[in-house]
Amino acid sequence: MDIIISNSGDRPIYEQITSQIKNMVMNGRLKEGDALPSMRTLAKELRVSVITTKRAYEDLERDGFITTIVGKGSFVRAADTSLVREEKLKQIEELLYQAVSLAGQSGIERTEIEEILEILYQDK
Amino acid sequence: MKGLILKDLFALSGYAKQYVIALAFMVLWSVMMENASFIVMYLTLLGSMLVLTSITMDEAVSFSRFALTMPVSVKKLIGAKYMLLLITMGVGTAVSILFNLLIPLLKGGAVSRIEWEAFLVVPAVYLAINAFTLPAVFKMGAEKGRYAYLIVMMAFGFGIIGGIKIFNLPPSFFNKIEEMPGAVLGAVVGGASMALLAASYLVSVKMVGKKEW
Amino acid sequence: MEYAIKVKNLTKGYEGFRLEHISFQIPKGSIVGFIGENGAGKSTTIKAILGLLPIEEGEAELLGHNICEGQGDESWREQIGVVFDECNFPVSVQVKNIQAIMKNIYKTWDGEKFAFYLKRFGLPLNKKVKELSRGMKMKLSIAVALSHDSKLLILDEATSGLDPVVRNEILDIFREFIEEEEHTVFLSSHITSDIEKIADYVMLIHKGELLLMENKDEILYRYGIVKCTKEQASMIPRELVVGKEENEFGASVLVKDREQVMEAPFMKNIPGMPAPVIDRAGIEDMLLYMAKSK
Repeated sequence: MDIIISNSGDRPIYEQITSQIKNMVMNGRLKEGDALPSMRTLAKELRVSVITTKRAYEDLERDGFITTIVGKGSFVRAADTSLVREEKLKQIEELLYQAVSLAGQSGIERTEIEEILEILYQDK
Repeated sequence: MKGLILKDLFALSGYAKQYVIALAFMVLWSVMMENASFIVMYLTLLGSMLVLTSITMDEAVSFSRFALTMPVSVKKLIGAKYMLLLITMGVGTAVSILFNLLIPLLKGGAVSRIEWEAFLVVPAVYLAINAFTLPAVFKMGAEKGRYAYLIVMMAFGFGIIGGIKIFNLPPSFFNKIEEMPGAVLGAVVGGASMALLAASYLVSVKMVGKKEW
Repeated sequence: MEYAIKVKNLTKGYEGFRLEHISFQIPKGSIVGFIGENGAGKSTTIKAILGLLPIEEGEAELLGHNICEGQGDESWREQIGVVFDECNFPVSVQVKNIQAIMKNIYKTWDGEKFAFYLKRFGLPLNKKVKELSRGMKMKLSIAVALSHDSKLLILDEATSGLDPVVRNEILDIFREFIEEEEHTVFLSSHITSDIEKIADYVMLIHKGELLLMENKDEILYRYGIVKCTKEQASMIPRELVVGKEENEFGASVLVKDREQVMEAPFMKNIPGMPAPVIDRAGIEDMLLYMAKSK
């Protein structure tokens, strides 16, 4: 399992960890039942605080991607298709939000955005 | 306590060479003078100085503060120094006795009894001196504590001479002491110095107990 | 017992300095960075909780044991490893002697572990303590602290004066130590960058008062330094302000919730005026701004 984090930049490290693990689960890199490293080992290897990895694992569990059994560790849960879909929708919404904001700042109208979307879908 | 004493022995071992050389000169001197009493004076003085040196070394690196974070009580910390004193004095006395036996033999003579008394009295006097100075050293630190040694030794010196003058002790007093069986003299002198040392230990522990590290 | 260190109302005074009713709790399994300027009270606090100073008021518990009770050689001290800012062995002692010494002090002394650390740190057995470099002396002290049944490591300015390479090695060792969730590290340091790297929680002391005990991630991701006009600075709610600095051209304010502050109406960009900016707040900033504000 590869995890790469950036210390600079605004994105909290726990979020980086969470999204990378979510991506691996959704892409099948991490399969159901796979054991994740312990929070403490991950913290040591990535050189981050245990509180950070704990938060990441708690968020992953809350969002249904992993399950943690006391004394045993954390394991990947089956990628629930509805969850995965939900997660992807979240990412798409985030990206679209950025596009819409940029449009707003530059005075570009909604209709122009819709035109671009049309073209993009046609090319697919 | 064993660990603490070992630490002191390791720390002091560097001085061993110097002392052996000095001792060699002492031995030569005694052979020439046909008198081994120098050795006992030197070795017992050494015994007390070594303990003071070990305390100085500890202070330089704040060892006591460190030791008190371990399962080491103030009693053990202080006790180790008193044990060290007994060890260095004991070894010094034993070595002196050895030379006292050897040197007359070298000269083809017999061992005299009078000199045995020196081996009892001198260490006992040094132990007694330390009984007074160690609490001062523990309270004020090794640097200031050195003055305590000067003061106490001078006090002992004047006390003995002064005592003799004031009480006008007749020579018969000293003869009686000579006539006492060695064992009795040993018990009296040894017992007194041990008792003083024990009292000194209790006082030191009490004083150090209130210290801030 | 879920707290490695529990301190309540700790009070201790000297001429010209007082530790005032300090209270804090350190959860087991965490690394806590204790920061403050010189003379703020870090060492006094540490010595007090170790039982090296008599305290006037309050109480302290280490691993569930009240340090005020009993002056015997408490055996729970087997579980405490302490490192001060100097190596506390007499300078003429050789590295190899320390095994024999410590074996006779700690019942739980682990000679194999000690040998392992000596090798790992490259500490030469035959050298005397005085012949070691500062970095090696520190590593030696840490090796000693780790070679018995220690569950709580307390370090007082143990990494000052060390080069970044050695410091990083030492931080890695702490990270290894903390892999066991029963283990806790409490370290005081000036080197705020080290604290930023390794701490789970940050505790800040200033002039004998505990000003902050906060989750490090909170500080890095929620706190921030807002740079704006002096007017805008004055409108930031008091409870969000940690410290403020003003110059001729504007103000810098360390706030507890940078997003909340930036979204405030008075922070909206006024056309023609420079826009307010947020910078991340580091641990050093915390120290500088807090020290300034009191």
